[in-house]
Amino acid sequence: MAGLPLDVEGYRDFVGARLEALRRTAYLLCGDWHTADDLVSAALVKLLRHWRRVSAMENPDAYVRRTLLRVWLDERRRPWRREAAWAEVPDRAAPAAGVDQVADRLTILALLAELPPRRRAVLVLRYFCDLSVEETAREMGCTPGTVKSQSARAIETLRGRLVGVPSLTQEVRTNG
Amino acid sequence: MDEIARQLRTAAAVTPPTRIDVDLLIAADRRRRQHRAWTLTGTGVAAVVAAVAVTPSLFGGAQAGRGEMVLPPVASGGGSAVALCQMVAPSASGPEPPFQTYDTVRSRPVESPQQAEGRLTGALHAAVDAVVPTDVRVVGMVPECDRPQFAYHARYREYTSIAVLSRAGLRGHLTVVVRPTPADARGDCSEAPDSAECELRPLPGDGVVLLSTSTDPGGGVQRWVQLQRPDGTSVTVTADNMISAEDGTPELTAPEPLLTSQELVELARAPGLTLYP
Repeated sequence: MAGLPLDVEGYRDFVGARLEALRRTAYLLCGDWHTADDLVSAALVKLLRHWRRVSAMENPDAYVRRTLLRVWLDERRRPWRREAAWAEVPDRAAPAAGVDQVADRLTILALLAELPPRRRAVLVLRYFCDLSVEETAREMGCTPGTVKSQSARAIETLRGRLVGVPSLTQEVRTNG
Repeated sequence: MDEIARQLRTAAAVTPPTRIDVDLLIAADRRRRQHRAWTLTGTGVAAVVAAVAVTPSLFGGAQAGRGEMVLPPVASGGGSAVALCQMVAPSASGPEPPFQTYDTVRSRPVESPQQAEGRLTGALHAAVDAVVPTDVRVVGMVPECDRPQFAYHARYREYTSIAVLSRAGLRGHLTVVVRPTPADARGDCSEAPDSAECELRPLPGDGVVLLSTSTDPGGGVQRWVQLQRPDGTSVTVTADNMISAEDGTPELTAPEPLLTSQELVELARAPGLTLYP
């Protein structure tokens, strides 16, 4: 890559160490691996264009996560992307002994697909990326109060649909 | 919320092989930078003209197909307010997006894109003359063509005009997009680039306007305005304070965009910027 006025090796190392985590995050946001790779690719291209500046930042991870989030939200805004990924949520009646992981995966993805995009993003950032309320707020570009309310509503939607998800009051208490 | 965290991790635990090749991304970006520099500096136009000069058969050739380069006639250039400069149509570097089939709030316009491009461009020029401060220069992105003009993007079914604003060494972009309002547009801030920093203002007799300002960590600021007209046209106007250098790296070129949100609204409200004249 000679000729690029960039620290390409640094970029390659950075991406290599985070690619799988970014793909997983994108997958939980969009619900399929093919689109997830597209989203991550788009985010990585944007990262490359800004790499000189981003590499000097204190927290480049936050930047790339935020970029990924914006890429996905932008995609969602495009009219041809607005079709629902799931016609209906698969039934998930009662907790069965020996829970099938595939069923778990399909159920959580279907439930995530039911949530509005920003609420879904809050859930993924908070509970998959392990970000605090304040960190999530920064990456979403909103207030901590909004994160809390979005999170509470998401939990409320999931309540009773997923095995082992506590009630809304428990969640609110947990998150202050 | 350990259970949700566990289920999310389980759902994403098994990852299929990725299609992402970082080296290919880097190489593609390098090609994009080269192509962009080639296009924006006008070198491309010079090359095309040179190619035409040594290949006379191209003059009499059939109409260029989609994705092929459109050759500018020698006589084209700046002129009256609605005379369009011919422009180089770059080929897509990857797969094109699907043709949009979304429903719109009213029947799609019957005006031909060629007619609409000229008409919208005339309306934009009038709006720019009336709204943009006299010390701000507005230059279109088409090489050797001073004024901005609209181009129809068939795949997106929208008209786009991109210009560079400049004032005393400060620069930024001005982008205007005109498209039919989708049927599912909700007329709220959910469509804004940053819904947390968005304001909705009803305009008596002129629909609703959404205003949003987003800032990136590097100091880039984008002012975004979308007017949803009662006649079924959406006009989106944005201004920013970043310009890509020749190597493609975005650079801050002003402390803030050179036009205010109010000025963007006034541009969007230009009477001629409609798809249903």
